[in-house]
Amino acid sequence: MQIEVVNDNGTTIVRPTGDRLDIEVAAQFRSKLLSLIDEGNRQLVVDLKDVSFIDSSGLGALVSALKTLKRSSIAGDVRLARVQAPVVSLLEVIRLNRVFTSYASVEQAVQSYQ
Amino acid sequence: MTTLTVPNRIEFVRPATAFLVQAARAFRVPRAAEPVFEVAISEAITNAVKHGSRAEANSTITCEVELEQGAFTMRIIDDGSGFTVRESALPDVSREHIEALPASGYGLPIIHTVFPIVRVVTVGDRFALELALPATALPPAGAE
Repeated sequence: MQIEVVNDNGTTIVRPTGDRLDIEVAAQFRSKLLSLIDEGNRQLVVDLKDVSFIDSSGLGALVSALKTLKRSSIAGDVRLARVQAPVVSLLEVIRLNRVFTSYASVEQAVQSYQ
Repeated sequence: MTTLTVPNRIEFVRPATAFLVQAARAFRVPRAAEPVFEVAISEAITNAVKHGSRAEANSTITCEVELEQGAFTMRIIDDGSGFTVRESALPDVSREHIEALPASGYGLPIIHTVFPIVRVVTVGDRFALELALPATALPPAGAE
C-alpha cells in the first residue's frame, strides 16, 4: 500500500492508496501516522477516498493516532475525508462516528482546522 | 459442505475472507450483502491467524461453510489451543473520553453484530470458531 502525504497550509493530508485498510497493511499505516505525529504534525486529515474496506486493525490505527495526539501537550486531531459508504457503515456500527468527524471533501476537512 | 484450506499467514486473510463471503452469497444469506458481513468474517480469520500457531511452519487455517436444516454455519479451524468466547459489548465511545478509547479489541464485537451464534468448537483434534445464523435469520427454501 502506498501512503501519500501532502501538507496544505499546516494541515497534513494522508491518503492510503489501497482499497483495503486491513490486517495486511494496518501496521504500516499506523506506523506512518505515528511517525507524522512524532515529526510535529498535529492537524491530520485522512483521505479515505480509495478505501472501500476497513477492519478493526485499520480502525485501531486511526484510534492510536487520535489518542497519541490527544495525549500530547499541543492539541491536535484526526479528521476523515471522503469516507466511502461501507466504511461509514462500519464506523456507525462500532460507534466510532461519534469520535471521528468526517467531511465530504478534503478541502472541507482542511478548512475545518482554520 | 464447502471448504478451503490456506496457510496460516496474514496474506491469506483476504482470499479466505473472499471465499467465505462468496459462499454465503451463493447460499443467498441476506446479510452477506452488507459491508459489515465481510468485515466480521475477516475479523474471525484474522483472529485465527493471530492465535492459531502461526509460528509453526505447516500451520493452516481451514474454512468450512454449510447450510443445514436452514441454518447457515461457518467454521474457521486453526492449529491453536482454543480460547473462550465472551460476550463482548461495543465500548461506549465518545469524544469526551478519548483516553478511554481502546485501540484494539473491536473484532469480536463486530462479529457479534452479524452472527448471533459465536462459539468455539472442536473439529477432530483442532479448534474452530463457529459463526452461525439460525434458520429464522434466512429466507425460506425456494424463496427468491
